[in-house]
Amino acid sequence: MNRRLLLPRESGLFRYAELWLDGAEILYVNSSRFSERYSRFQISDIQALVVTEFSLWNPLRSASLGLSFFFTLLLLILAPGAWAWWAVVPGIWLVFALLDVARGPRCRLVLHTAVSTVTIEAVRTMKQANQAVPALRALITSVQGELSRDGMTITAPIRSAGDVPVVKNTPLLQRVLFGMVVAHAGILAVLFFAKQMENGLGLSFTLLAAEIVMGIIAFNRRREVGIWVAALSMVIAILATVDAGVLGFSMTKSWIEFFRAVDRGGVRPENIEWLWLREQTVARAIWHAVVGLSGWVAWLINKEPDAQ
Amino acid sequence: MGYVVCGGCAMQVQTANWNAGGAIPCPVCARGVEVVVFPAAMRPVAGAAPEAIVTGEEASCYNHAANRAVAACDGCGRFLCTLCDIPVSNLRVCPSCFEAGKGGVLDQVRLTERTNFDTIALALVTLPIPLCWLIIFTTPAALYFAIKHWNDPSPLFPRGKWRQWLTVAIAILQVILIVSLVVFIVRMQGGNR
Repeated sequence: MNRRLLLPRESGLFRYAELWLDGAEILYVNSSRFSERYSRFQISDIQALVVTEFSLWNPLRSASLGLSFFFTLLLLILAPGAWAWWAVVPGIWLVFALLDVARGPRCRLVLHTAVSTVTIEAVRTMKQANQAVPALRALITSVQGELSRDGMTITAPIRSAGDVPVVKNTPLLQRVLFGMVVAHAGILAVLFFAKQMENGLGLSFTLLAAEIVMGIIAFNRRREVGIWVAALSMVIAILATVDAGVLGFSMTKSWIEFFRAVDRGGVRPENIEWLWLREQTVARAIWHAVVGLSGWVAWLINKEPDAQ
Repeated sequence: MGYVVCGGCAMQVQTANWNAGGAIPCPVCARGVEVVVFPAAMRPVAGAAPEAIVTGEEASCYNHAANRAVAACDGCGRFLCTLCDIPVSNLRVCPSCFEAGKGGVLDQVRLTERTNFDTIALALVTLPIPLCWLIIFTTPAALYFAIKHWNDPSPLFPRGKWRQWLTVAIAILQVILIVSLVVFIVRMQGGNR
């Protein structure tokens, strides 16, 4: 099987797309995860590539950010004393919007042959297009030669298709994940020394949820980032799951104790006592610091092959 | 070739803006559009008209005796004229070999879609977990898909069997859970009487 991946896999929760070099053809795979569709294009038949850039703020990103602001406003109006608790709601939308914005403006790449016009879903952002189009151009011109701007002159191919470098994925997700984990440790340390640990519970819950999801996705990209970065991503996902379970259990138990105390009378809402707050904060901060920094170290060691 | 359009507004991109070395703003929607055109776009469309045999020494097509052969089929070796010559991947095959799908390469080339039953089975056994009652219906379905398609070939991209193993393991746990629950409810009702 003489087949190699031309561009990094572009994936979402229920979709992914890949572009492969398969002999003298480009094999395009578009999948909903439950099914895969294959299209093949002879390199010598490809007539044009068209990239259209879209604005940074698409409706999805604007809606996510809008929802985040809306819930923050609602929180400040309806429950100003419990903002730290409910920060999880706008937090999720904010994290989603910021992660998506960090990918840069979106784009559409269309591939033309004499008989078909196909949108290549493997390239969805301008960052990807800026890497993919030169690579695809080099590949196609290595077979067809280059066409001058006036369309009158064709320069003969100067290298073979096998020499065309493969575009590597930028491990943005891993960098964001390890950065977030270290930042989480930092926030917990600040709250610990400021004796405001209870204000970090809602935020911790949001961040732990994000760490679980991102850890799993990062591990899923293990082929592009090396074994240590992938292993640490999985460690983060596992520890965050356990930690979220402990946090959820302690919060539920604290609430039950609180309601019992309310029934007995004489307890005000601000008097809620969080169980194992100090121990949890310290343990959470330590594992975040250790794993986050290890992740950065692993990424730095692995950096050279990624930059090629 | 005059059909290159902006991906935002479908306005045709002028030929003067092809191979401009970067994005040019679309005159209608102002989005940046980069068009990279290759020599294949300027290639005249070749006709498939076969050439007639002039002398008796020329090889003729297996299917059309009056037409000059231009290639031999990579599947069966028969001589083919331009009408019968089908280029597939790096092969040239005749219509009957193409129809029969001779050779593994042809099978791969002709494959345009594949259903991942292992992923469907895993989704069926995991996604309904939050809605506990739904697993009564989805667990048997997941087991059915996992076992029925256990030995399905993966012609293009090899897929491991870990999804099927995981499906079966989770499904067994769910069956144990359901049976335990039923036994528990029956015993409780027996105790109440």
